[in-house]
Amino acid sequence: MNDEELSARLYRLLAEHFELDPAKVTPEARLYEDLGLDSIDAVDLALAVEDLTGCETTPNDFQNASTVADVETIIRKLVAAK
Amino acid sequence: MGAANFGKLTDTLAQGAARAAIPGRDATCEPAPGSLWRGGANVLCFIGFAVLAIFGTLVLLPAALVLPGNRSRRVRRLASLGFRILLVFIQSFSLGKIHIEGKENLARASGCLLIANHPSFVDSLVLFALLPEANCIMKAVLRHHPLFAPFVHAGGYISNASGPLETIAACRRAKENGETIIIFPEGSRTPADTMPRLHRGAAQIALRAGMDILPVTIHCDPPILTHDRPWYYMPSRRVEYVVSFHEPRQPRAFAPTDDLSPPHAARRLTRALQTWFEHQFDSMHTADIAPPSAPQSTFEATASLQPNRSS
Repeated sequence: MNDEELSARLYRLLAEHFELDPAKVTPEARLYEDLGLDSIDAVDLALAVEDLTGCETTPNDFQNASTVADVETIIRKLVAAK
Repeated sequence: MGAANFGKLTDTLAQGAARAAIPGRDATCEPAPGSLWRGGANVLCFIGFAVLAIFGTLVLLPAALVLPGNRSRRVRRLASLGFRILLVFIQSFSLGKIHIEGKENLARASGCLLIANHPSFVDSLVLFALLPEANCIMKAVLRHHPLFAPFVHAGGYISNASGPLETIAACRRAKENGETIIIFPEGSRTPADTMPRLHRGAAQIALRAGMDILPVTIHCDPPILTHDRPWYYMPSRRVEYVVSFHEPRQPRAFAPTDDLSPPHAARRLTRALQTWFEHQFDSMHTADIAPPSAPQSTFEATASLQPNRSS
């Protein structure tokens, strides 16, 4: 899975998982303020990313992510380290 | 730290008296108890609150912790007793009158997540007074408050600061102990004259800790001790404070969430609870505009605040 594919899947995952308008899921979108996620959603996100990438994640992995682009960066690192 | 806070209290006390004196001038032409009296009684209640808290912290709390047995339960009952004493003051000064509706649902509160709107600082006092052993999800800031911190720690209340998974695990443990967990799902006090706006945390907890929901609606008229008014603000008439305990129900009675993924279920349930609260306040508003004698008949007025021992 290349970077572009991974990003596309992540955007779709975010929109479907958290009932978001796909148009709002952009790299600059802030997870909490713009997309309305909460701290428990961050835990669910970690689980969903695990399913998506096959990499093991912990809720702490996404603790410092504030935008969608941050999540992409973290996922790329996880995939690269696999 | 307690003394520093008390100093601040006496500073604002002077301001409060000055503020209350201005409308007090008009009191000459109205026979009802004036604002000055209410302002003074309010200040007395705050001083009483501080004295109870300091005495409780320095004398009763250590005693409660030294004796064997279930310490956190004893601490909670102690805090509850303090709140009941305070509410007796408030009612005997005629500052406010507390009306309790749906008392029978209090007996069913064990193991439930109690969700309430939060118009006033008084809400926590009333709920803890009525549910002496209840747990509560507390803002992290209360763990550092000079007056409340010792009780918050010793009472073993649930903090929202240790991460969502730990909070949910703590709620599940409390539920298995048969405790009622109080949460204000708006995360803060409801701004005056607005509909409550629920955050998703309460729904997340109910679904993930498998708890029934006991909804509580609170109506405080005129509003006092709101987020945007100073503590010494006191309206010129008695506050009618109505707390209604509704029937506890499973989350699926509010919204069918069984087939949904956890994030979808929490969103669906939050929307359903939001609608439920809006409906309650819409019907309350209808009652408000009824003839003045009508609302009283809908209240199940109670002369004193008796906690339900079976809870």
